[in-house]
Amino acid sequence: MRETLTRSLVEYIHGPETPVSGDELTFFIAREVMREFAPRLILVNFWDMDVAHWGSYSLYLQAITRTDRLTGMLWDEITTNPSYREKTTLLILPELGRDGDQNAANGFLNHRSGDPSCRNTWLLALGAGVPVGQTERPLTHVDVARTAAEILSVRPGEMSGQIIRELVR
Amino acid sequence: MPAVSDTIRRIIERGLFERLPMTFATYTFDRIRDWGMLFPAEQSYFERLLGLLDRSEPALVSRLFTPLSELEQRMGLDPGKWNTRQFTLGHVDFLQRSPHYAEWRRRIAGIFEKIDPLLEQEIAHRGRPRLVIVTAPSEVPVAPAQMWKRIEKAGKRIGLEAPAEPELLSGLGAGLLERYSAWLIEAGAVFPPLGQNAIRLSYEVLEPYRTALMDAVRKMLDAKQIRGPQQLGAELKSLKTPPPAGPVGQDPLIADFLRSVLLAGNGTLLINNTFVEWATIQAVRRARPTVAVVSFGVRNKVKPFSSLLIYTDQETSSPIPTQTDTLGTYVDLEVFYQYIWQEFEKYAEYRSNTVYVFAGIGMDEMLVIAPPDFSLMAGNNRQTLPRVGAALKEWIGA
Repeated sequence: MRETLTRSLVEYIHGPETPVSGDELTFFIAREVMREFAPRLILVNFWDMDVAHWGSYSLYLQAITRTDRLTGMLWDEITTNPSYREKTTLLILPELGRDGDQNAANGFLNHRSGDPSCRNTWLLALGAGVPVGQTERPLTHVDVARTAAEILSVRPGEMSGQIIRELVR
Repeated sequence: MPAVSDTIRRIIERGLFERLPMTFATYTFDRIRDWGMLFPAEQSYFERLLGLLDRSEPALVSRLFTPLSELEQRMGLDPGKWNTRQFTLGHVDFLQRSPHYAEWRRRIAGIFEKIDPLLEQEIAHRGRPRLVIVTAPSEVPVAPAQMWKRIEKAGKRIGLEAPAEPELLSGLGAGLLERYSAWLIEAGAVFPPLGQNAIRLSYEVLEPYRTALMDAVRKMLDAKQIRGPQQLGAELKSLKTPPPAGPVGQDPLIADFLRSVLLAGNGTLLINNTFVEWATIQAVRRARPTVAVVSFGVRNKVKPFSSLLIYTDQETSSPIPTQTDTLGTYVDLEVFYQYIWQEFEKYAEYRSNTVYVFAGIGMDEMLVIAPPDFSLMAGNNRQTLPRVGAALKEWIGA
């Protein structure tokens, strides 16, 4: 695995798609892993938008746009890679929200308040087995792992989350 | 007994802290422990807050705090193990991991919703005119009509006969003799001194100190296995570094303030305007300046992968030439104007008696948010810079 990734990484960095951010590199490695090893479960942790902590709203917006584009490219890979096409569920969710503009903390720079703007986020699911629709009810992050286990028919062990029934046929 | 004022000492001796819920009492006691490192405005606040609780009817105080006391019990707070004199990382950890944390925050907020109006009445009685000037750099690539969009409805656009320039502010703080009452916080170093007693923090001038601080943090990170933000916070707090050179370093209170701004403010070591914004927010919260001049600059473009190098000077670590990001600066500042204005307005000291001037260096229009009796709010004529300067000085009695 190390040899495969190192070779791919060297080709990538010196190729036309030279990455300029951590997320671009993350995407590339994720795609290489999918192409070379095709794991049944893969977690991709995009991180560029954490630049919000630096206090630049424009950089934050750029990072959101970039992550959005890379997530779309990940979906493209899922729909074209024979190992994943038509048998993969993609779950996209933010780790957390951010403090609101009116917040006592410092707006978008942080997520310290614990207010709803920090705690209330969303989840987008698409792909195999996911019906079209929208659900508005309280879910928690721990439900995601429990649901992924159900989708993969993996014994969940001691998980505290609940299955998100809307996503499981 | 910490070295607090006589007023606070008497309140402690009368046992107020023992009558308060433990989380509230501990946090408050921790804040006043290092009394000499509090700004006069902070000392005044704690004397008013604790004085109010001390002289109020015990039954009223009990009723105010009962919801918090009950919640502390539900949270499983163990009085035998709880250090009531120091708010530690363990305390923070306990609160944040509790399933009742959000409710705990709500109940704390509920207490201050009842206390603050009483404290603010005292402030309002001895209010005095205040002035806040926020400037944008001349490189911002938009016309005045595109400036200050998030807050323009709160104020009035006033045309200038000549473009705004830094000299407009000369001597604004000259008549303010109280220490910490006039602050100039700037990205560059282009403004004339505000006055003899004014505090001046310049991101540009502080470059050697910032670099030394980053170097010290990086060495500490290299030497220690930091396991998370809480450990990092503790290590940063105990990090030994020499104070900055010049007047800033000669005042222990300001040196400590600056160090805190740079180490706890995320991007303040890396981005000039983040430093300006966070230093201003902290100055408002802690020192309540009578005159504040806040001067933003142009942010540099961030170099590839620099987000991985939080404590590294990207100007020296990357061979890619440094470029300015004028459009990004414009987007950043539009948010910061709002944050700064609303931060001042959170405090009774500023509401209804503060003139805010948002100006762009080289621009022939500015946005003024002010009480109706500020002289420039009348009429729609373009103003000369001397007339603006005179109106500002007149407002604060300089």
